[in-house]
Amino acid sequence: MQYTRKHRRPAVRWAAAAAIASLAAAGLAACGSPNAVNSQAGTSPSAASSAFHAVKQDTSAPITVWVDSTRLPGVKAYQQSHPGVKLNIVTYNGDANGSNYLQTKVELFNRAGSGWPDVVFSEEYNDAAWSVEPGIDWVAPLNQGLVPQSTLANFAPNALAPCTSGGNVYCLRNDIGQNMLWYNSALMKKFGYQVPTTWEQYQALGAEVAKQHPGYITGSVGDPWTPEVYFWASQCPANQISGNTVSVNTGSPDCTKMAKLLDAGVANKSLTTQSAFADSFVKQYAAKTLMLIGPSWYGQYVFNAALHVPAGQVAAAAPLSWSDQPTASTGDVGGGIWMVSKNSANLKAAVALAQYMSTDNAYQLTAPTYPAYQPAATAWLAAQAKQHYFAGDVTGVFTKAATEIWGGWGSGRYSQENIWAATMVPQITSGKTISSLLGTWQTAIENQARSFGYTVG
Amino acid sequence: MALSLKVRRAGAPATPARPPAGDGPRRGRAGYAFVSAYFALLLLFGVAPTLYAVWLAITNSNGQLVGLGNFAQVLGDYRFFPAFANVALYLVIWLVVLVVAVIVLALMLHGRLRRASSVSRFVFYLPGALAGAASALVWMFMLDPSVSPVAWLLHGLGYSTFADVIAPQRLPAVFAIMAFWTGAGGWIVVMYGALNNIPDELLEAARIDGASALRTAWHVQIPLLRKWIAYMLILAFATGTQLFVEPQLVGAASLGEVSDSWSPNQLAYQYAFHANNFNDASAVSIYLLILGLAAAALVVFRSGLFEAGQ
Repeated sequence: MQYTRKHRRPAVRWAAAAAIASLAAAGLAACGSPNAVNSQAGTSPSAASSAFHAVKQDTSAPITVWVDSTRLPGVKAYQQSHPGVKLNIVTYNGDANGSNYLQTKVELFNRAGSGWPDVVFSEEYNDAAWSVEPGIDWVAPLNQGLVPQSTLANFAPNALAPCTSGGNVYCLRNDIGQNMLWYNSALMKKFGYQVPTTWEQYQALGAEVAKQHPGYITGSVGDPWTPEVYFWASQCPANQISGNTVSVNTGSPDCTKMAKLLDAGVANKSLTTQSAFADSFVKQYAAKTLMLIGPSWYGQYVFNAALHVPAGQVAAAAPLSWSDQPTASTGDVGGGIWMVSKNSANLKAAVALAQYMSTDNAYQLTAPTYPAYQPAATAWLAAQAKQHYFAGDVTGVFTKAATEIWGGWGSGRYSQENIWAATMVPQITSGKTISSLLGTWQTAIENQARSFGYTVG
Repeated sequence: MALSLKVRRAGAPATPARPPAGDGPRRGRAGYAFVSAYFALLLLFGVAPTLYAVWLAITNSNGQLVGLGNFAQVLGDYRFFPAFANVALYLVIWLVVLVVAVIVLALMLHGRLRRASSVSRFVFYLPGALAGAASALVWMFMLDPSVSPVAWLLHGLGYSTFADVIAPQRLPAVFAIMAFWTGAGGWIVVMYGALNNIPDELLEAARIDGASALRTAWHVQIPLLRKWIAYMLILAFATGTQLFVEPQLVGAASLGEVSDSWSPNQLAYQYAFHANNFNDASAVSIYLLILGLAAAALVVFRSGLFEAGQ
């Protein structure tokens, strides 16, 4: 036994040596260079997509649609009202919360050369950014004879900005998440407080609440969308994207003044570091949420569905402004999009569904979110008024806030929410001030942008 | 499962009886037939993907050879070293806890708890039967002070929210707890079986010489378990470096408070499916492969795992 082993060993060694040598040879024979950090970097998206050629069309072909559970009833209703369309409905997570499911699947479909859904709904409007990259390039330019120009023109200002690349529109925006000041009017009245209109008043009121009614809160900074709620509103240049260049300057006064305001609120506990979506938040603050700055969908999702605040108490006020600035600006949290695959064999049916879901009153009136399509938004607000959940009419506030979204915050292939959640939230929770973390935030954004092939300038 | 794991009682022969000599060649061919199906699957789904990964790792997206360029590129990624550092810390905690706890529990099952042993083995094994994702979900429930059945314990430790519990410095320990809970039971059952293979005469001799249970364990049982422990270490190390499900799920449940490239395997996933760069993803996976092979080689040669005979 020992004898044969001794004789076998050299053979194994030779084989190993040969394998290593061949690998080394492969290394020496290198004739290319590694992929650019992101293989699409440096190529203009429009170059790849300017000439859109549909695949062979068949107007009776069934279409596959991917939706999340929130949008599912709408698609089912469409199926019932359009029995002639053969629909294959697939429910998925809507690509929510940075799950990245859609991109994972699309890249696999691209490698396989088949399998794409014809229509897809995504909760992440950033998804349009990677969808049009030359290496992926799987969505149809809807403005090229698929959706009428008059329809596209009716979306809220800037609503289609995340969908637009190289002059083409690649998605239809389902809803927008313009931020506003949500408050509990019953509590405000009981405590005798005025609703603030400037950030300075908001900060002063927070300090007062902390003293007079400890335990009550005027906002939360524990969410992944803290940057969009506060820093976007304060026009902090943390996410400026132009072509393939990202510029970040979290040291700008527009960022530092907001960081100071938030730090003061966290210090006196008028702002909580808990996420409004954590179970612990609901337990602790369901009856003690005086105000929350947040998107248009907070009214129904947070106050009604999660905190169970009774009807007639929740009200919305216009976005806050800084006292030295004439106009308010606000951020935009989320807002889903509908995209159509350029590989669809039945573009007509696919586009019809996407257009119906994003613009038709029949669906949008039933949606919990504020429609990006303006005629639908008007009808939606009227429908909300009839539900009598909010204390008073929110129409004016919603409409005004929708026009005040600051256009200087870009929509990139990476997620600002992910960066904030992974880098900032744990540190803020552990007691560090946001002001002291602005540098960390800057580095994290720059690193992330670079790893996605952007030039940081 | 546990029921079918009835191990040979101590004292039974440790080596199987030789097959009748005349049967030799035919038995050999039948053996190949039995293995062939597995072997085909292994080639198709084990070896071929590995070779494909090696090929991807030394080429670029145009299929050109790039030598070690991809390896250098991922080495320069700002997420590379933090990811390996995270997993290294996790491995240290997990492997130490695994080795110590598994041996202690197996020895206790074997020595003190013999009467309750089959029930205990079944109970220990049970969590391992839960799929990785499900057990991670169970733990997220356990570790959230607002819903956990052991909330008092978490509050006692000073954690009032889920975010407190999953603070970055606690993550390696949190993942080690999850891994231990799902992984240790199976190993306890295996070690118990190994202990049963130690001839009773040896233990009896030790007893007659006046060795206490502790001394017997330290000088007789544990040295005889050495190869089993080495085996456990190799497999646990390999699965440990490939940590993926737990950080991915805890990240999703906490709305992203765990970095999406916390572990090297997640980093590879980010490369492949977020940056559309399968070549760099493969380079990361080859690093993991080399690490796992190196650790296995170290353990094998130090413990003499594959030395012929006892």
